Amino acid sequence: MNLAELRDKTRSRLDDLSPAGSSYTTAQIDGALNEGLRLFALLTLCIERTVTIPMQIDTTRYQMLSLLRDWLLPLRARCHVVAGATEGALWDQPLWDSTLFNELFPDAAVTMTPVRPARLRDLTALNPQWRQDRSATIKRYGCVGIDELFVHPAPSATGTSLQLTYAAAAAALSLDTDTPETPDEDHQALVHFAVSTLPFNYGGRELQQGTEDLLRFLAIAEHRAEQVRTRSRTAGYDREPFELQAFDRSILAALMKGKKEKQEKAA
Amino acid sequence: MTYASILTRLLPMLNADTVAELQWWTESELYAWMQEAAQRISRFALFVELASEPVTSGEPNYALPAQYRAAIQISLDERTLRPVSVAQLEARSTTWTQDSGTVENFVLDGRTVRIWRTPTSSGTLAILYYAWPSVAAGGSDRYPDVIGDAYAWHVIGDARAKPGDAMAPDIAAQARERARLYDAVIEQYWGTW
Repeated sequence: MNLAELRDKTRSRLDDLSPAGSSYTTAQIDGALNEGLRLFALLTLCIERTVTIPMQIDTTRYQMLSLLRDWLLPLRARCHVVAGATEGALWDQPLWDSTLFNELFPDAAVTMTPVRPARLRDLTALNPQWRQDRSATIKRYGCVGIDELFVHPAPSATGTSLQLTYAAAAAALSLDTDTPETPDEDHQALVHFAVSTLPFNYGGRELQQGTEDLLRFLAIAEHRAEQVRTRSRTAGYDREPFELQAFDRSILAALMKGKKEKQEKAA
Repeated sequence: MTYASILTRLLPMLNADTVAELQWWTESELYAWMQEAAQRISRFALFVELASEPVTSGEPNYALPAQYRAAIQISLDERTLRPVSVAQLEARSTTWTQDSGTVENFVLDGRTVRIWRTPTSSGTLAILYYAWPSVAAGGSDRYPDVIGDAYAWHVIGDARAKPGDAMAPDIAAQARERARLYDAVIEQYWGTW
């Protein structure tokens, strides 16, 4: 489903069709759908990207949100070392035996080694001066806070890169033709989230009815997170999605139950 | 995640398109609740900053950054210093306040960090710390929008619990449940300090 279809479905669920936009503006609905998308990506870690980041000589720390705007959490790292990378033909500096521009020199030796996760305190315990260690290959990495990534040891020469697989935040939906990055079968979850969120300015019955939609959103997210967790374990990732089944939803359920009891009393 | 972006998200849920249209709340109240939300969320190990301070020979005391909440690591010229208490230093050396030479430890004392021993040469002190991202300066655009969503639910919970015409316990309860969900996710991914 694209944004326009998601918006129409939300309007339909909220009975906001005659005329369309009488209760909620397009911006409000799009805002709620986007918030649902952001939360879904955070809960399930279902959006993954792999990038290769060239490491700088003598540098152990990187601010990931400056490098990758959609950065959330690291999943796996590999050290990519290319010896002889400078021999590659550049766009304006062709080499006689390179077949294409910007390709590596055919004789370049490429090695790919796993980088294990570590905590700052582990590295400090091993060696208080770990930041001064140098090597061609990165052996450990870790994250402090949301965007502070550290590597050990710092690269001693050019040609070292970190191939990083990370959980990404979802790209915002802005055009009518934009499609959420989450799997197709989970798009309905965004409608549930929007239906549960938009009545916040009214409260009352609409909001209480929306609680049921929020629980449905969480159920879809839980199902997706389980699938991502299984895949993460198979792939040997360093992080797993949020354990939604451990989140106490009894208060939300009670809020919904309160609504049903009132309806029954009224009947 | 800036003050303006969070406000833009909040206003429709408070029945307003602009701050001037707010019926039961003032901008200063929203601002105060946002600061409270920042304090609550900063108990998680989420916001990390690095401050560098020049170290001068003979000076053991250095001010901690304004947004400082807790130290992660303090190092002098890339050598990690170990935290100690004053009691430990007193046990180690009766003249610890006068000791000078190789710097090995640090003591946190309110808003200052004291390094031990007193340095005899200049250098750079790197303080990696958990920060409190104040919204006073407009917040930081560095952090993702999903963290701003967590702020917004905390504020709506507070705004709807305000006694008076604006009070709506059902809305406040729902908003607080959502804020609790965000907090639980942040805690599992990034932990607390």
